[in-house]
Amino acid sequence: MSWRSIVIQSLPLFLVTLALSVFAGAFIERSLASISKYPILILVLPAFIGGCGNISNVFAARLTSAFYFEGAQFVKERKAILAKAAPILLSAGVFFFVLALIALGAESVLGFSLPPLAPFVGSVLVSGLATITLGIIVSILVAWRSFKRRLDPDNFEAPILSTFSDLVGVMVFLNVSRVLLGG
Amino acid sequence: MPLASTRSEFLEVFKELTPVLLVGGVLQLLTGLLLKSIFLLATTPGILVMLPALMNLRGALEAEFAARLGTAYHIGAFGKGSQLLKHFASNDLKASIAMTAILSVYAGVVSFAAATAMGVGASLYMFVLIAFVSSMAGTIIVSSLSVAMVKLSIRRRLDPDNVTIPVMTAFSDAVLALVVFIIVMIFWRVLA
Repeated sequence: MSWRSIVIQSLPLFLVTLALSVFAGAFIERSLASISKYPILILVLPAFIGGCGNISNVFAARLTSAFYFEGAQFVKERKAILAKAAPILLSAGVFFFVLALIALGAESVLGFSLPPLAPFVGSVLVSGLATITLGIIVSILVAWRSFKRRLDPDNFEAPILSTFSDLVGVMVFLNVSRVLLGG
Repeated sequence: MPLASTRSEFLEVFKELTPVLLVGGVLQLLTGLLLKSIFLLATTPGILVMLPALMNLRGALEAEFAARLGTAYHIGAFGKGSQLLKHFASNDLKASIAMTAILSVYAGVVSFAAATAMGVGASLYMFVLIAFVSSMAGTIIVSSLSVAMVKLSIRRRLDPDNVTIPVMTAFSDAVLALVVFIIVMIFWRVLA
């Protein structure tokens, strides 16, 4: 494939996902009051968003494989879907909990003032699990709709889930932090 | 689904996924540290509006570039190591650079429009300049690292698809944040 063909095929989806990512940035800018009070929030944000994207994409990849093996009726097998979601949610819980502790440790070593421990760890954990749960639901819907329309879900899951994690992850994290930490 | 297979799948996923997530998380905390420094310097109003878009762009382009290198390796397009560099200089890198040039300017303009709509006193020139320079520098640095990573994977008899994409997407955020930080520092010194 020539470089011009690659650019022409990839450009439209990028134009849409980039515009949506700017909304995430606008939300961060709007939350400057909370961030100014607790700069640790901006320290955690890239790892938080990256983690949400990676975890959702791993679930999506496993779900898509199951759809390929078992067909679109797989969406009705709730127990099997829950069995796929359970270890993902447990890994996510451990990841967000440890991430919050490492961030607190880094801030402490660098000599910055720390936020209250329980509300901070709680806000990272609760918003992380909430975003992943929403990501799992979106992933199931995207896979199911793609199969129904005879499209390859692999072409849609990654860009949709990455943008979803950027946008929804930022909104959920900063809102939950504002409520739990106050700000 | 039999209970035993469900339980073993549960443990397998949990054991394999959690350490990888934690390593990536620590790498991205370094990105966060740079972002926090940019935020604390606060020399370029509205820059936080643009950063998620630039990171999304850098990560997605890098994943695409690394995936193409991996595919080229699997279909035997590389052959010997010297041909890898030839491949690197050809279509995939040209496409990556062209996309970076177009999309970074687009990200700068859209971010400026969003920042202006929010009432942030931003500068279009500054937004486009930071977006373009940091994204192009990121493309050159991270794409070169991707090629090195593919070469290393092949030498170690590892599948480049399993190694290059997760490592390079984590690196690309850190490299982009570092380049933005350097540009902001330069402007800060010039303006100070």
